[in-house]
Amino acid sequence: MPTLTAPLSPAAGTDRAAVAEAGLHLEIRGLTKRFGPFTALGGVDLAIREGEFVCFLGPSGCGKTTLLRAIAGLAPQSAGRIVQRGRDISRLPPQARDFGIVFQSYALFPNLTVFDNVAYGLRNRRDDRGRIRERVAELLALVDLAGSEAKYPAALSGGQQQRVALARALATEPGLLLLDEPLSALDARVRVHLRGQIKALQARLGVTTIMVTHDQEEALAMADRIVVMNHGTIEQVGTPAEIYRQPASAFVAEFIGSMNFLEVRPDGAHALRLGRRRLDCPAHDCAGDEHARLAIRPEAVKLCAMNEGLSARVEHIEFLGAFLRVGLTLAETGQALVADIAVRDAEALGLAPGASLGVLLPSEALRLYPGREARA
Amino acid sequence: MRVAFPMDGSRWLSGEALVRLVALLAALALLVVGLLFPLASMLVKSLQDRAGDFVGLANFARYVQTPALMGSIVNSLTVALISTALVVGLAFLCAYGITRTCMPGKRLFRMLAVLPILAPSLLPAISLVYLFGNQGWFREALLGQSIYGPIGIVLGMCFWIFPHALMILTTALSTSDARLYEAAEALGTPKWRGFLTITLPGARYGLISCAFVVFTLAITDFGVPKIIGGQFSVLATDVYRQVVGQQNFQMGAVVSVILLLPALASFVVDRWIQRRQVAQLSARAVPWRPTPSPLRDWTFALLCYAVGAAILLVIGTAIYASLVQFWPYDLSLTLEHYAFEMLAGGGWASWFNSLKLAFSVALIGTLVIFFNAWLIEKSDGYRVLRQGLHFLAMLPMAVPGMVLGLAYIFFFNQAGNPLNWLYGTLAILVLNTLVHFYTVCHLTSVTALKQLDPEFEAVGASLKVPFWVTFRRVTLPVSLPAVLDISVYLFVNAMTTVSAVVFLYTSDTRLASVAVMHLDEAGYFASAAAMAVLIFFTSLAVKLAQAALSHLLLNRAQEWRQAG
Amino acid sequence: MSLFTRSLLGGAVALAMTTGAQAATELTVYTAVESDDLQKYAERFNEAHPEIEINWVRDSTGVITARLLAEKDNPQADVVWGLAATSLLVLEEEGLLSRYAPEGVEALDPKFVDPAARNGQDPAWVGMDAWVAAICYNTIEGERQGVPMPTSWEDLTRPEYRGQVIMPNPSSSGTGYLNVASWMQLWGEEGAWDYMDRLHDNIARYTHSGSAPCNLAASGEAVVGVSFAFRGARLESQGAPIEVVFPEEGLGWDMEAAAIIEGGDNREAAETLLDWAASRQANELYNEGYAVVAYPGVAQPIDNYPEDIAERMIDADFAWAANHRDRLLEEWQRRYDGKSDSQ
Repeated sequence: MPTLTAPLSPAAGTDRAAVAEAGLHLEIRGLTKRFGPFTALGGVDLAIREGEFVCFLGPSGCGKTTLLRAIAGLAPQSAGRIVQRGRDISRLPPQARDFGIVFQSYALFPNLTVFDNVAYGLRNRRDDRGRIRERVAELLALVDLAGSEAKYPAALSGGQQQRVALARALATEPGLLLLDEPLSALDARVRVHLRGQIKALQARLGVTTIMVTHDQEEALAMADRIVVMNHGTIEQVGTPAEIYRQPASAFVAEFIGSMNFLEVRPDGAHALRLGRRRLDCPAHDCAGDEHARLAIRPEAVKLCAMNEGLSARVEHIEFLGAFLRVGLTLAETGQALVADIAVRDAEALGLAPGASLGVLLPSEALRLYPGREARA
Repeated sequence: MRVAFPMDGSRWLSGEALVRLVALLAALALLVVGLLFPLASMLVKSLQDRAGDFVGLANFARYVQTPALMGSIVNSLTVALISTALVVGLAFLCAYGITRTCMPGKRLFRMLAVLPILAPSLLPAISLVYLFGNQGWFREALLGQSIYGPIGIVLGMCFWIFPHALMILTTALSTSDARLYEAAEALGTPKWRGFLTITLPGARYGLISCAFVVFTLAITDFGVPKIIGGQFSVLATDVYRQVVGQQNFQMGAVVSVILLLPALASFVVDRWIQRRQVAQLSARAVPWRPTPSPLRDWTFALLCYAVGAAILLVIGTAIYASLVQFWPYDLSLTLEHYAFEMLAGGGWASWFNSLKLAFSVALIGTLVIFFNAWLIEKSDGYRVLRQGLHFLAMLPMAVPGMVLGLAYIFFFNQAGNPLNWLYGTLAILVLNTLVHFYTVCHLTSVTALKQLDPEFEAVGASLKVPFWVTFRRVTLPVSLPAVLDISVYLFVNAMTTVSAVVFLYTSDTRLASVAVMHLDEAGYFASAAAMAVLIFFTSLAVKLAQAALSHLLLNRAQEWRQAG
Repeated sequence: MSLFTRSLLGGAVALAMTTGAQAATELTVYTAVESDDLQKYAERFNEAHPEIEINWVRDSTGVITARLLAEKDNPQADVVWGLAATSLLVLEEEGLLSRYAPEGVEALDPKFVDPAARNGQDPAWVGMDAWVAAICYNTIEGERQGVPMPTSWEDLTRPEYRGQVIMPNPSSSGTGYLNVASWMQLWGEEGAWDYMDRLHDNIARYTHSGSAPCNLAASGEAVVGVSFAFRGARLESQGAPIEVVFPEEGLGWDMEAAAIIEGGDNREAAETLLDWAASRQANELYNEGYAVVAYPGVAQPIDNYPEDIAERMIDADFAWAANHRDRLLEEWQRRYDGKSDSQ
């Protein structure tokens, strides 16, 4: 396995902590993009700190790529402002902005060698040839492709091509690195490997990075912060842990990881009713509503003996290696519920389809969202 | 028109965006000046009397009341429809042979089938006179009918339109999905039902599209009916007769407008069909491979060989005709007929002029059309402008050469036109030819560009490389095979076209293709054949040079293309 | 190919010459002269006047006439050299010609000079030669198909000639029109239309140019071509199985003539060309193809022409032919043009 052992570029080798202190890299205000009657982005506000690795995450058509392209200047916004390091770049064409970009398709120039691809932006700056050669060698070493200068892109594997694209994007030392689904075209094994490599490289260079992805696992693994988007607006911005543990909306809750939704009635600010049972839960703002949706992750659901908790019936059991996924029906309301439990615990409970048992919903793991209909 | 910047208009116009806007506007200017304004002038002219006063539809009324002119509509339609039926039928069988059988000699046949494109449409007409004329070798085959008239026109059309039809249908039939045939076979469907339920429906859009292309070519062609039409007048020869013979420009404009109608109609239908076809073939389709079947293979092989032999016969006849001392009474061979200097048509100078024109159009046209296609395809913003340009680029296909040539007279020969100086120069011939053959080149460019990664430009911009550098270093080299195709297409057409340029040449800019017509008009049939043969071999040489060059380029690019 | 290299060399030399001779004036000359003679005309003229370069615009008589009329407001031509007198009369009527008396015009046969000269005006045009109607008959095909050699115009309407006769379209061809006009003068309008109605039944097709019918007869595409003497004689001497027939009723003819176009930029050069066109030298040149020329005493008998051709030419009234040109052509087109059943 190749590792990132190459020396850092002196220019990019800044202390990461210092960068973080330096404050905002990018500030987006009220960014709106319309395509005819369709609103692709509806007044997005976002601030990205210097040196941060941010992921735009969401289902296809949520506006994440549109937002990235607006930042790059490739698809100018209909309204709103983008400020990069204190400079208003809202109306600048791409070539006047400061970024490097890597696309899902790599977009390597097929008729140019790896060397010429990486040197593409350098040649234009009229650096002298020796300097360019040095810099290209340095970049290729950085992405573990030293010695591939003379090859053509077609002779490289997908992962190698993507690393060349990365080297090309970094060649001009941009202040901002934009990654547009860079890993989607690769097969699973290469993807996981390259994921680590990119993250390590980014941490080392300290370059502010925005990555667009629809793969939540990728986002959770790589990002300092995740921007979850849906229908052209931001649903939540937070660290991976925040996004996972405290999803700000039912959409985020459902989109990230697996989640059980149960229809309940709020009962005051700290409790709810599931059928006739009253359960405690963390503070919520559905107090006045008639209906609400209770969310709980399968791994937070606890199974116990029949006489404790809510009684439920085991419908089916899936073996998923490290744990079992148990499908349950609550006796009280007939609602379906899924619980992930360790194999050892299952043996202790003597789980079998048709068995009845008790279900505990720990109050600290409960979140309540307004409305009733579960979105698909 | 909503252009450029959707915001408050104060968006900073970078040097590069300015260059791009200027380039787009230049492309617009080219097509507006080279196509729209002339056509508009022609429409206006058709509504004026000789003195230039507006007379409404009076000219059209006179047209309708002149039986000789009205008859041409029926004649044109008859000839075009028969040609369409024959060409499409024959081309379908040959295309089927190429794509769906294991017939031997496919490559050879495909090479032979391209040859007619390299000759002016006057060549088959001349050959037909030698083959079926009153002294022709096969005159008995016509059972007493004269070759001068509809029979000759239809045969001549079939010859030179056949390659176009074959190309379209070969493409249509080669996009087959083997899975459908496997499914049919698994269900025990007989072969003929498979043909009716899978093959025909699959090729249906190709067939319809092909029929319209052939019909348009047939109804607008001028060369064949001019040479062999005799007293059988068609719309295209009427335009010529009205304008050149009688200098009745108003009536010429009227006939042109009428000639424009069927061409426009088939253009609209074709566009509509193209749009519907898009989603037809799924990306997962598995190409169907024929398995040998001696009876079927040899049936189609014999058919294709017969067609190939007919093509060779027609070309061979023209070559022979150009070498015979005094046909049919003195059959000794001579090169005398290639001494054009003493004859009508401008002599060898016209051949040099044609070369000059063809090289200019090939060079300028290729760069301009490909670059414009790139601007249209790969720019962001200026959406309305780009859509308008794309439409204008598609339009020339619907404008017959005769109409475009005449429209140029009306527009560029106006005394008040600042572009009046172009009139009578080689430049106007270059512009006219470029516009005349714009559409196919534009479509070829767009197809090639669509195959490129859409993000090349974005990458270039992010690396702060000006777009023209990326165009030069990446887009152009990667698209080189298509670019070569376009330039050869333009070269060959510039060499062979008669219809548009017949109105625009002057004594200094006489062209070889027009010379063929003049030599024939004046009765120098052998020299007319000689000039046509000369054009044919010139085109052939360029085509062969292209093949060699493409081969060389592909070999050199093999390294980077292999997996791309 | 030696011809090819020769032409290349020729082109290079011509290029060198034009760039060498700086003072060359370019003269745009419209003409209907037979194209196989154009080069010769230019060469002979340039022997005397190398400083003037001629740009030929050649087409059939009708086309050149129509083109000059169409360009009336924006004339492109400097000189017309070798166009039917009937057409020049039409052009004069339209005010397109500029009067000029070439040097030595007095020496020409007065019949060959614009009649206005007799009233003391400068002539609007000067004649060059007479160009005479004739029938080209292919002896081999005639014998093979049993079509006898005609001796008169009337013969051509006989049933055995059905589909065997080719004639030029008078709208485009000067030869075509001189025949129509001469038949009118021979038989009166009614008689001529009656004749043409009958002739039309025998016509295989009408051609664009006046020499095409003779060329087609020479190559056996037709047995009989209504054409003119020059072309028939030339083809006969080239070895075509052609007999040139001069019909007994009389020979229609027209005059090839030259004139200066009003409003050209190169007046001086145009006058030089016209002076030369009226010279004895030029008339000797015309005589190489035409038996009757404007300069008295120049004409030598030429091969394949009858000696008495001048006597057999009808007493043509060009003014009448010119005045009625539009009307006659329109009527002709109404009757015969685009008649698609005569394939």
